[in-house]
Amino acid sequence: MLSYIVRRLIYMIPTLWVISVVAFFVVQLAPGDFLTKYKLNERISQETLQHIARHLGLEKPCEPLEGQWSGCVERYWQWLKGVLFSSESIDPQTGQRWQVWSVSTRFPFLHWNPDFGFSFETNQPVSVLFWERLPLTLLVTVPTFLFAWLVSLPLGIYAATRQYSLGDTIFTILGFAGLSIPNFFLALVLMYWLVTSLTPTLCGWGLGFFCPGNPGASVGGLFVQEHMGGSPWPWDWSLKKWLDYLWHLWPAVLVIGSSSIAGLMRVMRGQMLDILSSQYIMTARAKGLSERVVIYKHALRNALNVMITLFGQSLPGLIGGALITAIVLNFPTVERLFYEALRAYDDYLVQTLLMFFAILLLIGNLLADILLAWVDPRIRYD
Amino acid sequence: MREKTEVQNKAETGLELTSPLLRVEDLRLYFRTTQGVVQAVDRISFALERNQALAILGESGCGKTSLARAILRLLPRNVHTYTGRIEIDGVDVMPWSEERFRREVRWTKISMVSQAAMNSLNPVLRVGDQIAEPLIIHKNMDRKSAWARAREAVQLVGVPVDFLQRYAFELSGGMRQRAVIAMALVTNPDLIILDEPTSALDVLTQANIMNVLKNIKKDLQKSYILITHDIATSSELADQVAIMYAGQIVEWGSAEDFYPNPLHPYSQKLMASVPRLREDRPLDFIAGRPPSLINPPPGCRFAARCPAKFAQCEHEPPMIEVEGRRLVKCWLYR
Repeated sequence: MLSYIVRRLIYMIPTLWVISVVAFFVVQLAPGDFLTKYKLNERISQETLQHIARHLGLEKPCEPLEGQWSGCVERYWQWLKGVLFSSESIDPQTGQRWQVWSVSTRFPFLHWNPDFGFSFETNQPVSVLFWERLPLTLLVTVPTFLFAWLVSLPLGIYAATRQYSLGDTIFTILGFAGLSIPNFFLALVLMYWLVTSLTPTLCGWGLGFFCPGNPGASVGGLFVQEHMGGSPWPWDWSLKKWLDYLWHLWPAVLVIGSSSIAGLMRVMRGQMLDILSSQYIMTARAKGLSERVVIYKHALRNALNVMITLFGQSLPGLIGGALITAIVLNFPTVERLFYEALRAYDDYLVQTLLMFFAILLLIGNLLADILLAWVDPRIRYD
Repeated sequence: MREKTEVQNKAETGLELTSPLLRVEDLRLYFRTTQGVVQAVDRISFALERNQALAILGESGCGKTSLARAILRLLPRNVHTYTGRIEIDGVDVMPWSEERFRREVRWTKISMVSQAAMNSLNPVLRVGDQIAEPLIIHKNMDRKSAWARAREAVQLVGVPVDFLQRYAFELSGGMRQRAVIAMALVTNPDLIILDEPTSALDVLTQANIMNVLKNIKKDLQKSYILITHDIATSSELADQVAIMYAGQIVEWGSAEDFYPNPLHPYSQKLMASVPRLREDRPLDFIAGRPPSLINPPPGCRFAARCPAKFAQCEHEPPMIEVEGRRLVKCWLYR
């Protein structure tokens, strides 16, 4: 098993290289680049434009559709060199040195501090931007993810064991409603209801937390102003910051989670129904096992295979995904960063984020394969 | 020979058991489908004594497996009617609650080797755990002693003991079948329902398994209900034979009476369709199809395909006693 994992990790290296090439060139296929908006601005002189281009390393054009490749290859190589061989990130304009990941301080023998390039737009290393957004993103997505899975799996089992019952029907209808209502719309409705009716009512009941000026009265964003600074990691927080966080979190969890619950629940239900009609389940019942043992010991482990595969594939969703909801609820997630970077032709940022999504997908699939081997003895990798 | 064992039985136990091990009376199991109500098991009655094997023969779709499931109350979701009496040692278990039935009948009194036993083992649990499981549930054994019993049980059926550590997919078809039989034996039930126990196996393995079953019956004094469409293998094991057609038993009798001389026209046709060595004749088959079990014909259900059909067949025949010890559902024997 260990040798299998090591083998898979080694296979990831060429895979990631191919992904990085494809991602880079696909992004470049879009006409224009970061300089386009300056070129179209009449107040910017030709000299200034050239100055900016030189500093950002965008002098040579990269328009694959028009056959101009020279800039592409140069920029890709620049990025790859930075990632693989850099020991620090250097700001191309100011010469300022950044050490964001500080791999080499922790593992001195590595001499490796990946430089993922600089963001054209913000003049900060890509890794700084990413690292800033990551904790806040995980603070939203991990609870949502847990919520969706912890709700949908039991619901799927419940619906399968009571197929066509009233409960099954109700959950199916609720699930499809969650699937059909656009997330951003649900988010808007929820925010409207929170602002106009729920918080004033709760304030009226004497709950100070919800009165104007307190965290409970604010809707959207992840924190009120006074809690925005400070450590992004939850173990450093005060109780007040925790309350603030939880209060702002639940609409997002509900909105984003509701859309994935329906799908997951239906898959789980279908899997369980499939397994429950199999011969060995009938044998288990014939043996006089109680329904609980039949379902949880005999059926569930067989039904989990597909869920584990889905789980592996959904891992990139932890840092990407739910873009529109994040915009509506004003959450500074990585996905939003990606979206803004795409719009601004912020090449290195786009490239790096795409690579992170790819790495998460590969790791998710590896995790799923390891879990599958653990759950199902028929799966062996050696 | 058969009577002798019965006598021996009584002599050994020292008591006269008045009630049979299993008596089924007027058992019905109907399913609800979109096309209508399927009368899979329709008014079936029979009795089975200890240490006897009853073979239930019939073609595919005649309700054999449904009968097995009805006896163990393994009902699908779309049950329409489930009525009748099922007496075990003279006690009607039909009114028992699901919980009581599960604890006191399933695998304690009656166990089952189900059809396609290849798929009766859970793929993700060790074979040994699955064999030991009923002991832990019903006999309150701990895992260690249950495994010890499981080891004894698999030795009886000729499975190497170290196979208990394996998973079903690591066993051959014959070994899986034996493991399933061991599973049925482990709690020492009085009756084992064998639903097509050898139908998916090659002839050599079939013969082997039949020998195992015969030895178990002889050594452990078990009763069997053997459900099969394979007349040849059934003759190896059966003491009594019941022929099932379209959800009903159409003939019942002892194996010695039945095999040389089947009574019901359907039984005769069924026997004639068995290939024989050294006999150059075209194999017989029965023209037409069995009637739909949704709204079956009102009279004799075999009438449409029967070569001996006559006017009386418009009405449903009762079970008619022949020679004082055989029953046949056919007007010819009135």
